Amino acid sequence: MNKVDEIFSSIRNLPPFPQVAQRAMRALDDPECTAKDLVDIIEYDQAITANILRICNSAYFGLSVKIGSLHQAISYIGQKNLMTIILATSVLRYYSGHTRGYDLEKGELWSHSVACALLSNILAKKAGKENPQTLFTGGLLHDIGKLVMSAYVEAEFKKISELVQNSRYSFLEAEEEVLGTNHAEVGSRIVELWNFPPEICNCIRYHHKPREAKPDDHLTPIIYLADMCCLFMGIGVGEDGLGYRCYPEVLVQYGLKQKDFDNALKELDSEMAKAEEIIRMA
Amino acid sequence: MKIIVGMADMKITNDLNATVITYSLGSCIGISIYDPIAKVGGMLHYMLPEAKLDLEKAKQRPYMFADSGIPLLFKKSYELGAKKQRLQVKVAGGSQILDDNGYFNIGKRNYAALRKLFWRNGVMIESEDVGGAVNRTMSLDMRDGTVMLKISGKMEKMI
Repeated sequence: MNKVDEIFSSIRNLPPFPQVAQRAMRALDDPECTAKDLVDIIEYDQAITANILRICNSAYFGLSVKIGSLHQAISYIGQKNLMTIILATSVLRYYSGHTRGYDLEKGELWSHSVACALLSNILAKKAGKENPQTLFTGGLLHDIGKLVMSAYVEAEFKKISELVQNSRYSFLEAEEEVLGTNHAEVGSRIVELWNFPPEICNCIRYHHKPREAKPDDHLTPIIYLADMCCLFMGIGVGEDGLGYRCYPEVLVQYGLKQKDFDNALKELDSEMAKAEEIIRMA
Repeated sequence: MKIIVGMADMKITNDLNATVITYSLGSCIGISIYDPIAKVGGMLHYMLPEAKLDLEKAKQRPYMFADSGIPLLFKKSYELGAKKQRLQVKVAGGSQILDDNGYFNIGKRNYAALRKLFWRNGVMIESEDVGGAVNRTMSLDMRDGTVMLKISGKMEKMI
């Protein structure tokens, strides 16, 4: 088996995406689904239920009452927010370890992913393109490919690092050159396997190559910008550092100015403080 | 003992057993100061160049910006007995993504803001490691003022 096939087939070694989350997502798409149906589905997974209640009671939502049940959670934060939380708690289990190939300690890839999810919403508002649910999902999952790539990057680190330092490769290009694929491509294949919709798969695949996104794809450029901002701020940044390419036309495309960008970073600081408990969960 | 300086944060100490450390600078800038006679040292980790972006925010979080954070870093060290002329000033961070010609250049703007302030106030930088596309972690050993950098995870060096 060649290297690329080996990497792609090792995707299947990841634990499967929690069924509860998949069933809950399908249920939420069904207009006839009631709150009770949803509770019945979620309660099946106790770890997810416990984490949902923890997030609902965290400073992020700032509720004045203590949420003690899923029913209460749905009525206080709404079904859409609930979906975001189900997703977050479902992917959390993948981010609980370290990602050694990228020199990320335990929890660092999680904080990077949460920050990117939060920032994508901040930037989308500034760009007049809001779609919080999908953006949050894209943000949380954009680097999921690093989980699989980590071991391969670690094994070939010398070669990759050589290309980045001496031959002006971006980290992504060096991954491609040495391993035949990159963490974005691998990530998109992971979420494809998990049956995520094509727009999520695409934004993961192109999150370092926004020029390859389709013109009507507003998810990819926003996730690209949010990811860049997290790199600038050093949030969950590892061995790859800031070694990715700049595509300024994305800012221009959305009429975003330097000041909008600075303001987004400033707002991220408060959002991260609010989400601290969620960040500490991994 | 580790004294951790978060993002948009500053710490000053005269504890000889402490190591002051700030993680993951990215485009942010870390400034380490150390007075070898008074044995007072500290570090600032700021995110953005100018407080005028949001003056209200700058009041609550002065260490977020270069022009509101840097003066406070020095002032707090004087309160513990440090003297400006003795301070060893070391700077790290201000990275950029590749081929950034000015659209996202937060790293460069952060560094320019620092140079402007230092020039106006006659502060000399003893050593620095800025720019590039790397991620840096900076630590200050309070016993002797040694400043170490961990660059993009693996490489370590003294500045």
